[in-house]
Amino acid sequence: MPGRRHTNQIIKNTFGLSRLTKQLNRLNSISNGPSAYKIDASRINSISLLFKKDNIGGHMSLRKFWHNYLPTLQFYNPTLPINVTRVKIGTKKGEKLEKYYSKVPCELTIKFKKGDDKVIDCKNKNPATIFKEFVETTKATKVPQDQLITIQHPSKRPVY
Amino acid sequence: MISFSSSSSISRYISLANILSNIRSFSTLNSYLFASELSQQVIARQKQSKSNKEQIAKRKQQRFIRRRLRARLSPSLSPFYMKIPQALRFLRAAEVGRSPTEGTISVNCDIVMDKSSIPLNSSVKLPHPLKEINIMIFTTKPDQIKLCENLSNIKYIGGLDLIEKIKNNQIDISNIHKSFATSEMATPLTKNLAKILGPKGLLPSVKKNTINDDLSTFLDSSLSSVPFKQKGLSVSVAVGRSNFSDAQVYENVLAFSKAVRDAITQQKAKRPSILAQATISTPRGPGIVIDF
Repeated sequence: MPGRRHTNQIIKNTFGLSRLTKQLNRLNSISNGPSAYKIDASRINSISLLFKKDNIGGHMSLRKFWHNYLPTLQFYNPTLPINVTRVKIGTKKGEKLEKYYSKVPCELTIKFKKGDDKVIDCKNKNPATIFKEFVETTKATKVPQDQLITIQHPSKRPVY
Repeated sequence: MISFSSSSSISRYISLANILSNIRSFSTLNSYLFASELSQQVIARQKQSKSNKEQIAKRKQQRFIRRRLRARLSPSLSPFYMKIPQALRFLRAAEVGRSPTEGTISVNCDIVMDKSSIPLNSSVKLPHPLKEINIMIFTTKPDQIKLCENLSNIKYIGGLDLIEKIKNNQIDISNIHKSFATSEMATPLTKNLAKILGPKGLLPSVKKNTINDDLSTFLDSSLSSVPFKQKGLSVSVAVGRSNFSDAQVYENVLAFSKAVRDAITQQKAKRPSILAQATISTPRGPGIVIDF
């Protein structure tokens, strides 16, 4: 069980922050996230994700990857088309859902302009490791710190 | 005082009754004291509440003055101020992987106004509408047909021929959103197409204000016009989708700002109300302050 000091810290991190800092964190999580990389538009056409709507069966990894890594990637590559398709499984009476888990893939496909498509299987993987593989296959380059966009906390707030 | 006797069962019973009576009397006394204390507290509170009400009214007035001053400042002083292309870059990143129909971009504008003034209620004519409306028209008048020929949104125009075509399922009506008619066509429409168009809400009628001899009034209001209404202290309108270009969104925002300013000039009020800061946002994105 977490101690009182620990719980207080959690409450402060979630509720205790002011509206201003919460909003700044939200904006900076988009523009200054872990996936601030640039992709060659001359080499790569598009990126597409395919996974299940339920988390069960190792499909949580791509959902987290989409949520935590794709916004920053889109921010620094605004012309790159990114498609996400989520499959919802429906069953007949008496059938079990587990029967269909193996049939739905959980994969990230990168479409190159030359015509070769590379598929990364993402079942039961950490989103950080998925991004490592993604960077290796696309040969993306990190955005230098001078070009990173950060919205800073106003040291002197305007007097209203 | 209470006394316990162990000699007989009757005496024991009496002693128990004694205890109960004692407790009851004690409780009544206590409750009386409590009530008297309460009454004193209530009187004190009433005295306080009069002063509190005055204080609350004062605070409200001060807040209103502060809002008025804040509205007159330029939006660039806000820490979340951005120009529209930069703001759209953030919003499109927040809506990554979603379909453009899911990610509607909307502008929300705060308004500072007096209590007595009537809230805003009018409509905008957007240069780049979010949804294309298909219209069907029933007329036999040549003047009205000339008006409608140039417009691209009108799918079908006709008189009794059109009614027969719809009756025999020669035309698809699934794509059509609205239908209008002139006064001559009212009786043949209700006779022949009431069962087909009625449940879809496409049957023109006098009650819905969709039958009139001048169709130009309908067309101006229905084509790409979006109604907006003040809710609380703000007005909001959907200005674009995530697949719109920067220029398209910019032109729509300009049209909305013009419409709000026109609505304020027509508003019935002692003091003219003021436009405060406007924010642009999507369902899953952050709110960003823009020039309005």
